[in-house]
Amino acid sequence: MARTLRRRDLLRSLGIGLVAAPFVDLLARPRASRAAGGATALRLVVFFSPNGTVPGHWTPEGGEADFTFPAGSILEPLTPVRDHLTIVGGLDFFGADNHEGGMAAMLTAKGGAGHESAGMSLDQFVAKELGASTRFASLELGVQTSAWGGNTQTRMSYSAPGQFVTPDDDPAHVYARLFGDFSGGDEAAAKLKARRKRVVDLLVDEARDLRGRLGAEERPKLEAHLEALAQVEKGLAGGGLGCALPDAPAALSPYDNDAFPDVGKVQMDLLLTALACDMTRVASIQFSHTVSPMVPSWLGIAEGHHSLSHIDDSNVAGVGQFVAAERWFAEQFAYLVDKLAATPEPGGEGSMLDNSLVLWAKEMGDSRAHVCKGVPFVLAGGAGGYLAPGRYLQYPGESHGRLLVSICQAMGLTNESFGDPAFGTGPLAGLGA
Amino acid sequence: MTTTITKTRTLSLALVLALGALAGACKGDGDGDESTCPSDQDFFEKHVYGPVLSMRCAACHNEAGLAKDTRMVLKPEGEEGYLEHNMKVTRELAREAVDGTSILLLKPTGEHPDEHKGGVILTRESAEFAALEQWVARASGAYACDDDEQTLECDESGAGARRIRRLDHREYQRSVDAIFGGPVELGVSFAPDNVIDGYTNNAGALQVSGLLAEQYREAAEGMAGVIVDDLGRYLPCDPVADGEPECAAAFIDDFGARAFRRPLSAGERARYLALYEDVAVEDGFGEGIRWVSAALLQAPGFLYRTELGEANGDGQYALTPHELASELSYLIVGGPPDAALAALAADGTLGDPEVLASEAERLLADPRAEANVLRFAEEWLGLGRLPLVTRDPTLFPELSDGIRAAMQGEVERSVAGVFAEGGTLGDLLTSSRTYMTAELAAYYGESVGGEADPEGFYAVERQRGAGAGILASGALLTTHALPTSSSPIHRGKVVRERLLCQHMPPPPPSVNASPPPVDPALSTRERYTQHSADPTCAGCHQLIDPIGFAFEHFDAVGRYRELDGVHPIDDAGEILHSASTDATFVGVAELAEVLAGSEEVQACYVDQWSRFALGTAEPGDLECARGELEAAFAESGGRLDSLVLALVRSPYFRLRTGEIASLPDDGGDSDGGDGTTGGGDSDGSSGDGGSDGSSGGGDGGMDAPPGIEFTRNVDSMWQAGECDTVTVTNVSDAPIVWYVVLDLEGALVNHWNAKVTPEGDRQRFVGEDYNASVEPQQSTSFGFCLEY
Repeated sequence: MARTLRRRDLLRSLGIGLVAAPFVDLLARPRASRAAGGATALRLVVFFSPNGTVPGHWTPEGGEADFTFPAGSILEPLTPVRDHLTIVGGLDFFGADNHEGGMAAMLTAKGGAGHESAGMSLDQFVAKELGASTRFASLELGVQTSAWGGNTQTRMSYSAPGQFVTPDDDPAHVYARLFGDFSGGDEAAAKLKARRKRVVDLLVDEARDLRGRLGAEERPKLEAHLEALAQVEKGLAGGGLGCALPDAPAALSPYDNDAFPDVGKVQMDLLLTALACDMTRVASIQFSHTVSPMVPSWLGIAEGHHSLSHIDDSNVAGVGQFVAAERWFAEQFAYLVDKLAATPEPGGEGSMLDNSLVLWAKEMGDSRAHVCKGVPFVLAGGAGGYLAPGRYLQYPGESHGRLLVSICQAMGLTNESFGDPAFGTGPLAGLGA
Repeated sequence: MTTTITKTRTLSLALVLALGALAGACKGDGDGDESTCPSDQDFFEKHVYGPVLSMRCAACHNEAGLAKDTRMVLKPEGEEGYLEHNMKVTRELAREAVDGTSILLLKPTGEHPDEHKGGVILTRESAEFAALEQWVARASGAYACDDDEQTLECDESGAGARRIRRLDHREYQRSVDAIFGGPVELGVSFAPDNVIDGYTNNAGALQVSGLLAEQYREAAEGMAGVIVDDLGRYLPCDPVADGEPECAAAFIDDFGARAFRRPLSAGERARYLALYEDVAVEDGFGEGIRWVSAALLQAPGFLYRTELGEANGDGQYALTPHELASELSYLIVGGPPDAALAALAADGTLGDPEVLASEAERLLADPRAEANVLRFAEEWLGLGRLPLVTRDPTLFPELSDGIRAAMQGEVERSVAGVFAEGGTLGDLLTSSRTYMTAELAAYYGESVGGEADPEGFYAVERQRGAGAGILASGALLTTHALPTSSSPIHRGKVVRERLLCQHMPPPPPSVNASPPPVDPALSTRERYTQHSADPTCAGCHQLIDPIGFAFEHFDAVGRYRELDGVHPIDDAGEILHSASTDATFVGVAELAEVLAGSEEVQACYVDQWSRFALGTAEPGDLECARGELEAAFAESGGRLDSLVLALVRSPYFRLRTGEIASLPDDGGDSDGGDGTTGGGDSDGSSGDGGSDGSSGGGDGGMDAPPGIEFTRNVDSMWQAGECDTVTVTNVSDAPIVWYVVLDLEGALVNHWNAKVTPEGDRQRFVGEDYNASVEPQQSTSFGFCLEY
């Protein structure tokens, strides 16, 4: 019997896209180029928390300018930073529903290789344009994202269709990666980097040799490896640290449920330091993942977050526990925003927050219905003047791909669509200042 | 800018044909007319109904299911005329299009304007989609067999696909432990890999990301430090007596062979020696060894299992003895060859199939083999989450970390015991023999006697859950439950998906998927029965909940209970809509008996084990090996170790087939570049392949010996340079030591798989030791990069 399935399709079905050769990658046509002039943000931060929301407990009261967060509601902990926020309600993930569909579409808007965003997630797309000048094109930090391994449920960043970018869940490793080179002083650091570069050069030769022995089907593995080595090499570039060397974080067990808040705080602090030291301009922090089994035990709750998210209104106490968990995530977001607001822009004017765009994304709207309609987003920061925060905007029935376009344009990019353009193109009207 | 030339495509097609009029039938698969295109019915059964409709659709699209009112109501396998009915139904849908696309493709991908209530269940990139696509083409008469893309991974010889496998994280750990002769503390945890079908060793998913490359570096540098701190132990020589460069070279050979599981090639040796010299000249011998070690331990030769084989002249690749040793060792013990196996590889005797088989027997008896079996069982049944699943500490204070660890020890010993004694799948599912610490026995309400093993485990004939094997293990029961209660859904799902191999779709959007809240007035069974009474839910839940009810005598933390709260327990259950396992039963032991006697469960086990052992989820790969494995498994009465021995004896294990190196990637994936002015000028990239098959001396200054045709493909091009692959094919009847002379458009900055010498303005390429000669009708390739 002749086999009829095409092998490349099979490979793709495993989440293996075709990876461009690294040298080509560097010169790939800029699909979106940076616009000259205009108000633009210097950096983008994506913050994720899982399992949708309960709209009745999320929605602010009031209008665009005079909105408030009702007492006891999910967003109430954001009150102290309200004037830094742009609340965006009503957006739909067209063509996607449910946990996995939502997780995959959240930052990609269902983009494919042929679309303007090339199937990348927002953070990776922006990093491709902005990342050349910094030591890390982007940083992906996680809080207990990977106990289930990598799959559509546990990943939100995509470097290409089907290609996950893995977040780093271990603060100790993040610290070593960011600051490990600098512990012995500048001279030792320079020598260490030179040695490591010499090794990378050898590894590139070895990887190319192996690539040469492979058929076309297997070559993408080595192309990916070469791309990884190019990233390592980039991380070895640059001179001194350019900011104070922070203390190493206290030892934490990255997958201990009860350590979730501590790991989250340390990861946010590392992310803030990396931004302040200008090691990267694009960063994400992912708290757990869709279908999260995390138990908010530190709030006195014994049920898993996923189960909590599906409790219907007849179970008042259960819904109350979910709201409590969501309020905790709002506190974490407020912490991040507050820290950025309190840090002066290095070598610039205003605060880091004024020049940043921070996005709190969720993968579903009403979790009880498993739908990705009316998905809530919270933006923070002035985005270098692109945003005029302190507003609550509603875009019922609009594609969230248009929000992603707005964010790209806030970052100075010029793409007019993000993801599948069939669901809408152009930025959201009235979002930019 | 892929200046792929038409010639290359023709060549690839020619090679495909040369490699086999064989291409086609999997061994033992199909009856008779194997060389031709499968009939519609054959295709439907094997590629549409089997892997797609029955697995992905039938759970809802059946007469009683959630989708019973749609136009696609499928009849279950085994029902009279089910295949014909299902073909007819899907053909009609295949022919109906919206905006030019068949609704059979729009619905499952969620692209239909009216959406698909069952959500997105396929992606356009999936194999399932490709099968449906072909079914649509067949239904509309737009399909001709020529449209088939040739795939070579499974030909009638039964050879496996030519692949590499990156070490998964456990194999990595076992590999470094073997290199260092003891457990190595890496001090870094690697980024978790993508999980495919529950398994973490899928060869397609195992790649090196930027993050992982950094973690590999960190680990390798740490291990290099260990070597430098105790140099005498790791050096095969004395740098003072033997000379430092000589000793470094000896270390590279010795340590390199351990890391790469084979001797280093001359080119590799030179590369590491150059690294040593660069470092040693500045910082001395010890630092030179440090950086050489660090490089070897993050090199592709260490990180990948490269069982690619060498061309054997029949269009296939036979594994070398070193590759056989590696393949065998990672298969059975999950780590690199030990000294005895390495010796048999070094002297070549492992090439004898009988020697190979006896080594397989030897390794199966090796204690390390157990750990590998346990790992499979853990991923098969999802037991790895045992230490992490959360339970309400106020409801279940007894579930301490110690008890969890003891549960893990229990299930490990149970599985290992069955495996070591030559036991069967049936034994695994029905044995009452288990192993408990005194503490765990007290927790379960069992009693222990006799002598404990060194870790304190006693062999116990289980009284509670007797006859239910691993189904009654605390590990399985606790992992598949909720923080506050048992879960018939989770327990039924593990049986349905992992023992019957039927995939359950997620709850569709817009249904209330809230688990029924704990209500002391109701038993768990009553809560779940009410919850799933809604006809929207019943279609799917009837497939899992009634199986899960059989486990109701066990609470959320694996303990036997007489009452569920204050409620008596009804643990009668039922398997519905299976292929051949439909049955009713009372309690977990009767369920175990049903499962143990089911051919469907046996076939599922073979499938699950194959996914793990072969590191693949590709239907083609699994299909290739399946026939022999199923036969051997059945013949042995379901002995767990029979699968290992059958695989080792199969051609799939020893032989490889696949695209030769550098077959262009369809030419279709223009790697990020559209044509630029720098694009290949025609003479530079159109290769030879002219009418006479020999050199085109006057054509762009290219040259090659008679009988050699070559094609040059520009893989990538940018403003300042390009990288090319040249495929060299012997079109004669005798082996040829080849050369290719090219007039290049820029300075050669890098090349691989060939040596190069300047010849006037031109460059002369000859093969490395391993590809200097090319067999008749075979090809090899080399590559290079230029700067303009």
